[in-house]
Amino acid sequence: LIYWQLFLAFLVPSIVGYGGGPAFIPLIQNEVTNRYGWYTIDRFGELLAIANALPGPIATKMAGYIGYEQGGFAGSAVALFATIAPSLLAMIMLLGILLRFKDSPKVQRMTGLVKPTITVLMGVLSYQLLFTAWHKAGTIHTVVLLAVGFLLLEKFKVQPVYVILGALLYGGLLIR
Amino acid sequence: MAGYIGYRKAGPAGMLVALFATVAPTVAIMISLIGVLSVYHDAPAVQGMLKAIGPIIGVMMVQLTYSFFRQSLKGIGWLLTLIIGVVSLICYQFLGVHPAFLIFALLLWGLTAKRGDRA
Repeated sequence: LIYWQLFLAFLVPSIVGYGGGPAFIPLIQNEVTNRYGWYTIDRFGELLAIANALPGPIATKMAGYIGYEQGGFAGSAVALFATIAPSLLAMIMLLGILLRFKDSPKVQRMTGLVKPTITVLMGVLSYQLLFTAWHKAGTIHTVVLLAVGFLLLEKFKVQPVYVILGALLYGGLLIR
Repeated sequence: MAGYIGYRKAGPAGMLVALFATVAPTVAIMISLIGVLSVYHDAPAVQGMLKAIGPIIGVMMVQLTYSFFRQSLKGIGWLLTLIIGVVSLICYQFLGVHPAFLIFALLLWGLTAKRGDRA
């Protein structure tokens, strides 16, 4: 049963979250925290942070890890398969067609219409993550980390991995 | 990408090998990293680390949210963005509609809409 759940949990997001990558995050979160209740938002945030600090596409890292934790190596393989298979099939069978229509107004419009929904999903997830973070780390640390994190990431364009490592250091030394 | 190239070069087996080589290392690192963290999960330093990571990941998600918002404005204009955004928020957050249905409905709408329609 767990394998079937893992399969569905990653298959659905990877089909509808086409465009892959970031759009996949809130969709996965919805499956693993709301639908199947494997993780709290909190724990999901931790996984996301660690996945973000490592190289490679975010979707496969999350799928590989969550699959492993829920169902061992076989679970990992199932989750990865569900994540990769739809786009892979599409690529092998339809690459030519997709590429040809990529700039067509219709495909453009379809992609465009989905964007506000993805924005909302991401916004809700951001809010939940920030809220639990504030709850756990307290007001002062949260404000400091938010301000410094924002400056480094947005203004100085520091690589996320260094910001995360910095935060780990800060937390390890200063937060109790 | 790796899957496709592997398939073209060496068929299905090539595809699996290429995918495995691409995905396995980072997943393995992640599993061991989290494994180490959970062994020391109760140490105050590790607790502090886990607490500190929250706000940062929050900032990253806000950045992503904003970039999707910008793309949306650019693609379909503010009015449609606002309408679809508000409807999505109500459906997802308050009515508990599964996001896959929302996205599917929107794709269907985009597919069937007449060329002359807005957006």
